[in-house]
Amino acid sequence: METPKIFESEYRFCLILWKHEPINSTALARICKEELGWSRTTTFTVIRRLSDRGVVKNENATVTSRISKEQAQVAQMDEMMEKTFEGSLPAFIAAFGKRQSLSEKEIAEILRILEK
Amino acid sequence: METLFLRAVNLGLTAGWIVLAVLLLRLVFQKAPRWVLCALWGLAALRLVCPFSFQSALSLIPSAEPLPPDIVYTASPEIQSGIGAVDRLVNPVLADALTPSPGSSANPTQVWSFILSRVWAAGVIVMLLYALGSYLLLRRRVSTATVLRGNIRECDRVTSPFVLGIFRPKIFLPYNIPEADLAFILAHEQAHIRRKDHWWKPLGFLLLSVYWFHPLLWAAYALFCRDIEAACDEKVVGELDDAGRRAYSMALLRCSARSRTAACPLAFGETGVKRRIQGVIRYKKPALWIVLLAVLAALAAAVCLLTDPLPRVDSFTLREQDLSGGDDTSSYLYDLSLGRQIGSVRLWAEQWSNGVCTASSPETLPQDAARLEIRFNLAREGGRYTGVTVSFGAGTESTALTSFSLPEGANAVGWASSAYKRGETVRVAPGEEKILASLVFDLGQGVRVFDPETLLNEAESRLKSAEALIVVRAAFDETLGSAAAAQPEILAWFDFWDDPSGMEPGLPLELPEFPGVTFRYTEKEIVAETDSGAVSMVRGPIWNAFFYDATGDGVRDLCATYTFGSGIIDARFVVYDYKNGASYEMADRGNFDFILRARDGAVYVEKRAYSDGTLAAFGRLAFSDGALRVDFEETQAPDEDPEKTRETLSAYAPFGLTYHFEEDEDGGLRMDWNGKPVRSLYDAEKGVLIANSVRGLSLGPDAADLEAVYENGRLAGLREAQSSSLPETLDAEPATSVP
Repeated sequence: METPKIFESEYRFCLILWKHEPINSTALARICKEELGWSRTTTFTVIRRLSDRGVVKNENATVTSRISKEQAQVAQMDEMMEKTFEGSLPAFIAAFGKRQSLSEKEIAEILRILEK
Repeated sequence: METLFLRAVNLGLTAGWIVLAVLLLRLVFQKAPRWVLCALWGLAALRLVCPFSFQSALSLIPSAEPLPPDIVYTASPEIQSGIGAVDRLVNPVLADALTPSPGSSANPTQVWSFILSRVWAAGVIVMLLYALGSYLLLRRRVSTATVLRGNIRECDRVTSPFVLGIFRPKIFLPYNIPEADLAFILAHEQAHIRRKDHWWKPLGFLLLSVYWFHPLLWAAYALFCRDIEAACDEKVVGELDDAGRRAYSMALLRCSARSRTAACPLAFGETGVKRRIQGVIRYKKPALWIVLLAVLAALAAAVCLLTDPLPRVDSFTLREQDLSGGDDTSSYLYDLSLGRQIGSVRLWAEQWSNGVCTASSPETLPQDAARLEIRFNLAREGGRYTGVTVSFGAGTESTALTSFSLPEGANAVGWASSAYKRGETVRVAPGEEKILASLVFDLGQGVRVFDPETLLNEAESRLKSAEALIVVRAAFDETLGSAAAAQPEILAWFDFWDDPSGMEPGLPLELPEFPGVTFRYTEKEIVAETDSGAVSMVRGPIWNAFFYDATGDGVRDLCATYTFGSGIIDARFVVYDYKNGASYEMADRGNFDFILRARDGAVYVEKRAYSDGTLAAFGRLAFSDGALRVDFEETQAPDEDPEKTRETLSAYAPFGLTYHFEEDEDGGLRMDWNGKPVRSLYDAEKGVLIANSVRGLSLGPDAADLEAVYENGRLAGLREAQSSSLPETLDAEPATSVP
């Protein structure tokens, strides 16, 4: 199944959810108010929107995620790859490499991931 | 709503001038700091918001009210743009299109103003709905924005930075703005908030909504938005070096590259990036003198544009009326706003009885009078009113008094006075007359109170139904060049009426007000000669001629008595206004003769019955509404009321006057004094002219015209009136002779 689209602000919300889940929706709204500056209605709107898309689940006022943080990150990465590097991994690596100097250890880890 | 609409149009048209001026100043002061320009826009806004304004002579606004408020109701709608050419162009069109046709049920101006005002209101609503809608939409879009810090929010559904919110404005940014750009962008947006632009811009849009019909204001709004951005850029850039400016420009560029801005009038998007980058790169801290100059120019603009022009129309307003000063007084206090076109006001207190003016007392208001108080003090004897004293006061000026008495036995049980409505501003134009106050006596049948306009408009029939009425009439005359020109002195050229033996061609005359003109008198004609020829002014045997400002325009007119005809020879007079090339004549062939007389520096008219020369009336020559008029002071047929005449005359008996009524069927009055028959008796103090004894001319050459002599306000004697009015004889002994 393809991971549904998550917008940036929704991703910030998900970061909170992943940290606290399962969590009562009212408590979640309180945290969102503190950390994101969202009103209750905004939080509930986002919860509904995300559950429509199958990102979260809201049952008996308890919110849980249906997509893991890793899945979401991969999906975002895919999208960025597609958009910015026309799906070319080497182009991405090249750009990434230019930008930051990687340690030997990091390079080895990247290679290991790529081999999988 | 029509009233609101009309006000909006007026304010809008007026503010249009400011917008034009600001546009001009923007061009001149391209180097000036932008905040000065913003302040100028503030001025324009103030003008649009504020319905009231000061009046100033320095005002450059041509007209505060191009559309007069009564345009909807007048029969002939006219605009007063303050620009003659515009008025001349527009008003005939208006008159053609909008003058109500008789018989149609509604005035077309009213119909149009109804339709247009609804269209306008609909436009305002559409504009406001658009603003509200776009605001709510944007609010919804950024509802999921997340806090970055303080009042800064990040949001994935916006594409470029902007400020939103009226009370707690927040800065909204897209996610992931490069750290290097962020500082600049925030500095810019915080500058908006510090300058309270999040209030000014919605205010600007609100004004645009109200004045949406005004194309100049659309331009003004667009430029205003641009100037706001530029002002904020300036504020940020002012503290940066060259490299910083370049970086700032790049930040602007990257923001704009993302996409177009939200078109919400209540938010700030980044617009006009190219121009702004140019502005940023070119920015130099303006020299102090440029700043000062710009500020001064803005201040001057404020004075010249924010103030209304002094009204060009003259008007007066009844400010106070005091009807409470006891039963026997009433007073009216008028505020006068004159001096634009009207330079002098002549007043008359008049007594009218059944349509006839029976007494009149003239008064001239001081030229700079700002107020006029009219007071009626009623005299009472027993339970009946016997008369009234009318007094005028102009500020601290002394008060002029005139007393009128009711006829003996008039059963005046009450009275009522009236004037203009309090607070109503009455416009007056030169040459117009108004009745400022009236007082009517109740002779037992109740009173009909006349309002001033009715009295004025029913001039012919006016007052016929009123047996005893006092009016205060005012004639408003044009502004005159100077006080000296205001009342040119009378010049008596010649006067042979009383002594025709000296009747011969006189000396040619030249007057300072008519350079290059020679007035020449032959026995049969007066001509005005110039290099280009001669103009005939009067023809016929001419008996006397005066140069006297009869028309009240500050320039003397030729006033001449001449006789006309061969079988029936009647005397009449002509007033020739040489300045305007107009000529006026008063004649009543076969019924009355009119003879001019100079007295007290003015020209008076004797009206004598053609049949027997009886003096029928005597009064001062006047001019109003383009026509000659005689303010007859007293008209009294000698035979009408012998008892009353006797009574009046008894006052003069101690000074040698004898009188009786002839025993013949005419029962005419016969007066004698010092062994001479008396033709007339005139009492200036009492405003009384006892008309002629019987058969005026038949009295013979020795007949005398008497006038009352007063000393210290008391009747002290009688003397023969000075009938010749040549200046050199004015103070000479009376010399009366009759053909």
